[in-house]
Amino acid sequence: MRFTDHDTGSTMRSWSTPTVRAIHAAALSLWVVGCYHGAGNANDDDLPEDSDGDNADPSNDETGDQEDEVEVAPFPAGLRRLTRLQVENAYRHVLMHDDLILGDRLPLDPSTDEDFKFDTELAAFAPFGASDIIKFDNVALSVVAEVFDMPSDTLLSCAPVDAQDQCAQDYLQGMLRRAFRRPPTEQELDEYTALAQQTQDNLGDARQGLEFATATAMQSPWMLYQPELGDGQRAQGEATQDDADFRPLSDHALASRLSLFLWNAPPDEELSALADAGELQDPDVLAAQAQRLLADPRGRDTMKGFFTQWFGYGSIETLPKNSAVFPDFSPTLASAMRAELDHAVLDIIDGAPYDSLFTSTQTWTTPALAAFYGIELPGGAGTDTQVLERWEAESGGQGCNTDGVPPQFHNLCSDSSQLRRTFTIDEAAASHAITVRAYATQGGNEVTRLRVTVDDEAAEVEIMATASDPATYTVPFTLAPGDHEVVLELANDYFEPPDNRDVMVDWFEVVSRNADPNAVVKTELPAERQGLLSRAGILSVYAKPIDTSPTTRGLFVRQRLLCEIIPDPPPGVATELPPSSDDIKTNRQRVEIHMTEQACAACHQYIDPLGLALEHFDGIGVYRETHDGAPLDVTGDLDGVQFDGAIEMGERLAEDPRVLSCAVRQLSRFALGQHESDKQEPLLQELAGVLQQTRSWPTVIEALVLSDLFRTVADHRED
Amino acid sequence: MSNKHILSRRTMLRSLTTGIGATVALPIFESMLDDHGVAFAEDGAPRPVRYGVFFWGNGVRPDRWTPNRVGDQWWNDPNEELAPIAENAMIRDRVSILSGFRLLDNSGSAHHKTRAQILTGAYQPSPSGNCCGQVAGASSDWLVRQAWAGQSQLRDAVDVGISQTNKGASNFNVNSGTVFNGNGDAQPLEMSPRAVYDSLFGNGLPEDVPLADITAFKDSRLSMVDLVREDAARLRTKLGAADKQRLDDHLEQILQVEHGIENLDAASACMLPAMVPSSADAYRQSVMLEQDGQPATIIGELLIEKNKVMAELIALALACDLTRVFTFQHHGMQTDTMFWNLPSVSLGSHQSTHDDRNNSPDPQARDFEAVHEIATFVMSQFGVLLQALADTADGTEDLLDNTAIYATSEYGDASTHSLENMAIMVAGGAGGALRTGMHYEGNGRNAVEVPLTLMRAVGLNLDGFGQGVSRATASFDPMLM
Repeated sequence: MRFTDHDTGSTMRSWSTPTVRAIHAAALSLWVVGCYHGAGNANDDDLPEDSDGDNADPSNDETGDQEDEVEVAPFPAGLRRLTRLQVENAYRHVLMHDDLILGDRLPLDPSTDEDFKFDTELAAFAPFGASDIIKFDNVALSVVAEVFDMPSDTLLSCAPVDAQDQCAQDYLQGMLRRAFRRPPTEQELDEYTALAQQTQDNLGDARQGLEFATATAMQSPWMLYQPELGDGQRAQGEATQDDADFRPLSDHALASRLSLFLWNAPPDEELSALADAGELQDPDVLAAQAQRLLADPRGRDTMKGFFTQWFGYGSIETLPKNSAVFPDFSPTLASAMRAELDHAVLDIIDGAPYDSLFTSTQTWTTPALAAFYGIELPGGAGTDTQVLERWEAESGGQGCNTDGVPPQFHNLCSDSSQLRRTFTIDEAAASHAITVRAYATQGGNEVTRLRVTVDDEAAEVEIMATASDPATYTVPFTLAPGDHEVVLELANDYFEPPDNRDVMVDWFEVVSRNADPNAVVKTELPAERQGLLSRAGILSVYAKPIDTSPTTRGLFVRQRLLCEIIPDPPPGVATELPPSSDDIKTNRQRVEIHMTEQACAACHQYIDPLGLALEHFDGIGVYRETHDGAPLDVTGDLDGVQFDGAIEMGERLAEDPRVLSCAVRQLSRFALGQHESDKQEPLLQELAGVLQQTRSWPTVIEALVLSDLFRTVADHRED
Repeated sequence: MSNKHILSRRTMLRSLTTGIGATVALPIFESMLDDHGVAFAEDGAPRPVRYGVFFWGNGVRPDRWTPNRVGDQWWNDPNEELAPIAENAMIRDRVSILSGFRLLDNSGSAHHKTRAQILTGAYQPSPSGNCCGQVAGASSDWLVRQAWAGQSQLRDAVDVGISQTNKGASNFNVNSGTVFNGNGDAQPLEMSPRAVYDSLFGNGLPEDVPLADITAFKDSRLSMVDLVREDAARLRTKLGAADKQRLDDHLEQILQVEHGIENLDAASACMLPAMVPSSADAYRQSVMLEQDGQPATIIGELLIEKNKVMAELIALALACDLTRVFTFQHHGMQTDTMFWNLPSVSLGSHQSTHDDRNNSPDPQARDFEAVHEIATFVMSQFGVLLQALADTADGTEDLLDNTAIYATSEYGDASTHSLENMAIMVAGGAGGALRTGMHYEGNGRNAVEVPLTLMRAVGLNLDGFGQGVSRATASFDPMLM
């Protein structure tokens, strides 16, 4: 197979793909033991269909000489269906009305039974159902009428008298160009004019005619699908080749592919004009447009959307979490978790090295998330905090053992030693908090919790600090003006038998906070956290409503970060785990049941250890030293590379070439709406090389856009 | 039943308890009633038979669902989970329970495989080795809608869903469901009552078009459809074979838009005030829960309210002959719908079937009580749909008499992914073709026989249903009159 390299002119060269073959060799050797977890190619038809695998194992011909060249091709030409979001943006564009919100008035994206696909992949080649097509007809008619009835003249700045007049013709020309993402042909303009005329004749109103023409264009296949047919010409000066497998997209198809990728929207005026002028095939021009689109807020939003889908945190606010087990989890906290993840991915758009996704020690936190992480925001940043009342806790504590307790600390050990104060709020504030400086004595393996009650509302906070390093804990409340009472007491009186664990309080205060509680501050993560795998959002999403889930966390790493395929559990097995008991406390002990059954172990040996490494974080990402008092073993190995805990696993992943290769595949799937096959693998490996070299996500986006994967298509797809 | 109005006056889309939606008076259709208040009776023609599928995810607890009494009057000794139907004298004698039927293809038991078998009679593994493969067959409702294409006034079928919750955090399943077209594609379900209303009654007829102009209005509306076809024809010449086929399928669906425009007057007869039910977003609300004294806020789905509105829209669509086929998915297979309306259920639906500790401090209390409670609730919601049909007169009978409904889930017992004891119910009389109100024991018979029997009962002439080992060719005769 031959291929033209843009950098070196028309040089033909063979493709040797050791990387690809190595991946397959590794994957298939695991297939033999019963769990195929290779890199995921939907069209990977050379995979063995059964487990004997002996004639399919490429390790057999690892030293052979017949496979030094593989077929390389871009994705096939095809008719790509827009996603719901892309149609919504296209409707805004055609009606020149950026504020339109159509939501589920538009057909939803199709569904999948697979655990994870991007919306662009789901939509690309799915059919529209009858109800979808009826919906387009309905929504187009009604939304056009709504916009035409608005007083603004942005859309139609003149008063048409007749479908043939200049006003109507200018409108139809511009409208069709926006709707079809290319200039209309004369025949199309004539036919849409005829429809407008007929409607005007029928209903007696030239504007009504334009409405009907617009509503028709909005349900035309040229609007709802993007043809990517490979009927374009390469730019002058670029190497020309007649290889049927690398057919350039037309200028307008290329413009649409670019803006749908980076904006989920049709090309804007600047990009369309470049397509009209035939300049977009110039790699420099194309690269500059990619940079422009990516830098635009719409580009950043789209990238955020990409990572949100990839990492699966799109529905974090509605995660089912049991409130008795996880009382801290709330939509507000979940939004803060989402904001942290959003900022973490935007950081690499803004130039942070790609691998810092897995190793960054930064967080972008709201006050709520900071409190959750136990971070003191620098200088009260983001909180605009005002201290309303402050109390130094008197030393001692009735009935408590105060041996060794520093003199200024008050010991909370029993009901009789609780701290109780009244105070008055004079002015309303956005929110309030009780801030407590405290530490806990370490008398056992259980956690020590402080209960803070204001009036009837109670909240508990886990006291991790020790005598050598007391910490400040902030418990948010929202308090109306008036008189209130605050009570501090030990909360862990329900642990049996009572260990000698007490909370020592230095001082506490009531603060009001008037700044936006959603304001995000960039600061350092606490020492036990680093990178994606220890961010609360990811830990919450990949967990159960009442517990962690080593298996789903392991699958997140295997499927989403390493792009591996893990098969279903075998039939007829009960998949519930044994309950915890005196003997079985940790999840490692519980999931070991998976390992005792051969049918389960074949796969779970690859999945669970990666999730078990995150067991220091509970089902909503709270750090814990132990689980029900039992120590946690968070060591594991990533296909032979040892690590200990979440931070080290993140560091190993950051170094793993499979992670880079997977990231590039995910980007390509999202950008092009197609799942790669072996033919695209060499092109993707090149991009992975770019990512490995530059560690720069914007650079890889640009390299993708300039690649033949993006700019060309192969022959038409077959069913 | 002859005194019934076509839709009883209490069939109102109520302003729901949470304040969403607006009161919508449903049509009374005076023009369609004869002197006795019986709809469509002027020509004495029999009312058409309708077909429906009701689906819910994650099964039941077969040991607490299967009636204790076999044969007729099962409701005299029902099991706990069927109590909501057994207690409703208006519908129970038109519901049959089928226990002990099984799936024959044991090559896989994951949710998507059993769902494919129970709905389409086959699961075909993906050639790619990828997770979920293709659903090779068409679902029963798809075969029926194809056989009856163009016969109703407006739509060949209406497909709705209630819960929009996914499995975990994935985009898995958001809209997946019950309808498979035989090409591996699941058809979309409509989750928004507003959108269902719009697509049935929003015929685009502006309020200010005088009736005299309706012909002219139709003329232009039909020209719109023609122009979309012209656009498609021009695009088609540029495409490869696969995309040509897809575009052709698109054009075939446009026939339904055209059909609706041609019958715009008929649908108008069913349209009353411009008040419409709310969109899907309105059926979510922030819910304060309290469990063990701990407050928590979740975003809860208003399942009960949405189920009721959808049930009434379906009844209306059937009554007005806007469609003759419907599918109704309460919550999708393997989804983690949270039933926050059930105070003692703390896990999502799917999670409950695998890890039902249900908050008990007793580690041995893993009794799948939550699965039981959810199943009981879903039966009550199925009952709401049946009640809406029973409340609606249809000729001299009511809609339920003239409908055949296949109700099932992807399992009986989801906790073990069992292929045995599938949860199956059949409701409605299919215009007199079905013997109703029975508890039939399958004793290991092929579950796929049930939808085959129903399709035959509503008049389809089929050699069999499904493919491979799951294929059924024999009807389950005891169900037939």
